[in-house]
Amino acid sequence: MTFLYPLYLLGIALTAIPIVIHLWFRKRLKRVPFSTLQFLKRTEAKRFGWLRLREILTLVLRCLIILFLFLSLSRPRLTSVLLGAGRSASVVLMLDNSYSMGYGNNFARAQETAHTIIARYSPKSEFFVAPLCNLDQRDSLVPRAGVSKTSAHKLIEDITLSHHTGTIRDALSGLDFSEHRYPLEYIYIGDGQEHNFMEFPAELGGARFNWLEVPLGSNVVITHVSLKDPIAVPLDQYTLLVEVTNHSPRTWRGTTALEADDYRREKECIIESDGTVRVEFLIPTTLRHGTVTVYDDSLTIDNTYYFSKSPAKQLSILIVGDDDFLRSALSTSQHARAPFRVESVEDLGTADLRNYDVIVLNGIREISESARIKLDNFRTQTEKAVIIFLGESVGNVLQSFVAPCCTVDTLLLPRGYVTLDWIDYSDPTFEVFVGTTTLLNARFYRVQKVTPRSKVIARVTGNHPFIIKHDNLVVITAPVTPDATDLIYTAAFVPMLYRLTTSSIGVSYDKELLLGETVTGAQTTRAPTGALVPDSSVLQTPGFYSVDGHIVGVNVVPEEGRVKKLGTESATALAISKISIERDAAGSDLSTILLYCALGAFVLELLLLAL
Amino acid sequence: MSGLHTSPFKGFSQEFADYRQYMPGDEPKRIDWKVYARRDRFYIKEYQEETNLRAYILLDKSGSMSYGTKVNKLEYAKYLSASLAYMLFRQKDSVGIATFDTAIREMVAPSAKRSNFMQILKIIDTAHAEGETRLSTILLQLAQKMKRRGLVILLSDLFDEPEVVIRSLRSFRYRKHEILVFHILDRDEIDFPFAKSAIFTDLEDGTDMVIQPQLIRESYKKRFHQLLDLYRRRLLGSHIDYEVMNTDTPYDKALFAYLHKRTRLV
Repeated sequence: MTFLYPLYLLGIALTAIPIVIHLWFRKRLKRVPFSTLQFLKRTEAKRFGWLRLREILTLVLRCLIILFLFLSLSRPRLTSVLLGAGRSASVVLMLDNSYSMGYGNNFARAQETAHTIIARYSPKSEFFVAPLCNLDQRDSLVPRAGVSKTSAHKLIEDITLSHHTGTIRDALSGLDFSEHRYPLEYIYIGDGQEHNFMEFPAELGGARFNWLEVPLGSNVVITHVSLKDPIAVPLDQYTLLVEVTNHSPRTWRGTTALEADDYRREKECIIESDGTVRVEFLIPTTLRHGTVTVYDDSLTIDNTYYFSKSPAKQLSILIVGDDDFLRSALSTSQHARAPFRVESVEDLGTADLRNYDVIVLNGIREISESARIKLDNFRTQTEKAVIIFLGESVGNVLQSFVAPCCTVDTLLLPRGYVTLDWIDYSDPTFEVFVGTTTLLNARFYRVQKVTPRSKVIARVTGNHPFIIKHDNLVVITAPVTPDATDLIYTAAFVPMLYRLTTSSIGVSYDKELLLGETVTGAQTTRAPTGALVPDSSVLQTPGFYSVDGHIVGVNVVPEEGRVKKLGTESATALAISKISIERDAAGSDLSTILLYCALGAFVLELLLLAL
Repeated sequence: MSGLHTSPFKGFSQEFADYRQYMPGDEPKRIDWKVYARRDRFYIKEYQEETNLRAYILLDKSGSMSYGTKVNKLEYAKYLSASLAYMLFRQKDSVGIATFDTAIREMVAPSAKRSNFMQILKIIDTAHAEGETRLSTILLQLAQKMKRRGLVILLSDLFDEPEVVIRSLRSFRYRKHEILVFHILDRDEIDFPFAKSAIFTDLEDGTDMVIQPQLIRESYKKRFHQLLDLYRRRLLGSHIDYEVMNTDTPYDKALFAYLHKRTRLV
């Protein structure tokens, strides 16, 4: 047994106080001569026996209260002989500094335990200290070979919490055990999440590997921040969808707040254990980046998410061919902030495509070779798209242009009409049509029969492809004309066309990065501090970075947010000795038990006095 | 010399009681010849026997008798026994005394002589409380020593095992003694009026005991009254006169009350 504050043991001498008071009180009592106590003794024998016993018990209890109290203050601990115990060893000490250790004071406790463990070994022992995560820090701070106790203490102090996760395998990989002097003993101090043990070195299976288990905390984590409808062109505001998951064993009540410049919104959240809620925030379109924060969570290291979003902007569309219906459908508003600016031409030959984001060919039979070159050049820009509504016939040049999507076979002229009988509702074009039948009721009187070469997102009767997507090229096998379809008269026409157009553009709406990603040399990247981030370096700290002049949010990987501990069975399978940091490693702290004993003695004394 | 007490036994005496017809076996000298001359029958004259009462005063001088708030129990008992001795002496009765604690310390055989009375007073005067009480043993010893029937007056606080004390007192009754028991007590022993916790010291064996009176008062009083009731019931049941004498009670009142009661008994 060891005592954390042995000086308090001196207080045990104060147990003499009740005895002195007892004796003094007896001395102070008036002495009354009485004829005989024999009668009292005879008639009140039981009572006197009890009173005498009560007096002794009270005295004993009072002494015990003081004894327990000072023993408790001295923080006695029952120490384990498993670790240290004065022997000489080569100790490999891995300190988990992954961000889940930021729960409460877990990391400080882990450091304190590491110091205790180091102190227990003999002075001759050597120590290999390694942080579990942030290997850059390890390489710069931690020597690869074994160090003395004093150096090991200092190294433990130098390790800081990381925003990354890590594995034991990686932590060990940089250490050099070739010249260890004593038998190796491996000690991992941490909360032991499953992924920390990924690819656990098999050679450690039979070795002396101890896991000092820090209690795993709970966590509320922002798992995802996205635009609610990335392909919708916002007018004044766009909707940010924040997904918050509660990994705690109990219901979490807290606040989710969004801040962007001076704009601030808060929403109260109640999330069941292991539940997820989606919180929506409306943000002015002028604000593209900001932070989302959850409050009242103990693991504060991942409570802020840095978002930088690019909602769809106003598109310039050029319609080539029959524009009667398309133009009116896409020109839904004349407002300056209307989603589309639409123009039309008869022929591509004279058009300057640089001014447009989307080129729509409607019912065009053929294009010239030069037009095809222009379109090919146009398509090389990922943020631009070409949409082709095939006409009754398709010329060779046009055939070759649509070849990445499909091969056109023959014109399909059904008896009557065909309808859409399968739609990929997961595609952004159709996700808003889930549960509606309008689109399914649209009739098509003639469609081109094609062989798809890319992703089909809609089919008509007979399982014939209707819409085929290939990157920023979209092919629809029927033209948008009154004699080809009555889709143009349905309520679904405008929204479908709207979404088909915006979704065809390959714009990245989510410009966020994760810690651990590498900075490429093609970009000029600056850290939140303004410092230039060297080429090929790994992003280490979350925050707003500047990448080629654009603000990009860098966030922690939500992987550790799941806080899933390695189970006892798995630990046994890996031949790992799991030791509780509270009970076994640092020693079982008896102070609480002793405090309860003191309290119990006090209650007993009160009961005795009341009897 | 003759006493004032009436003897319950008829026999030779100066005071005529009755005539009785001569029965064979009677002494012929007791025949009243004058009656024979008148009636021609033999009658014997009977007389009320007038004897000197033999009184034994048994004074308990054990340590517990030294207790008392105004006057201690022994002093009270000494005055009372002196008064009784004087009354008996004045009535021409023989009076003796025995003082005792764990053993019989002093003993004077009953006599109506003045010198005897003076000796009794001296013994009473010099008696001081000490030692423990072995009342029942002492009473048995005294009962054996008192060969002739008489009046036994016991002045004691009776702090011994009640059943044994009662049994010992009955042994006097077996020997045809008449017994008066003055149970000498102090008011504090009856009411136990102590308020604060204190160390109570036994005046007999010197043992100490820390007592919180408020905790035991009611129980003590109840049990003490049960004890007094037991003595009263059992002693009166055995035709033993029993009187509780509180040291607060004036002697004259106590004696008068007793004598009055005694008169009624006679």
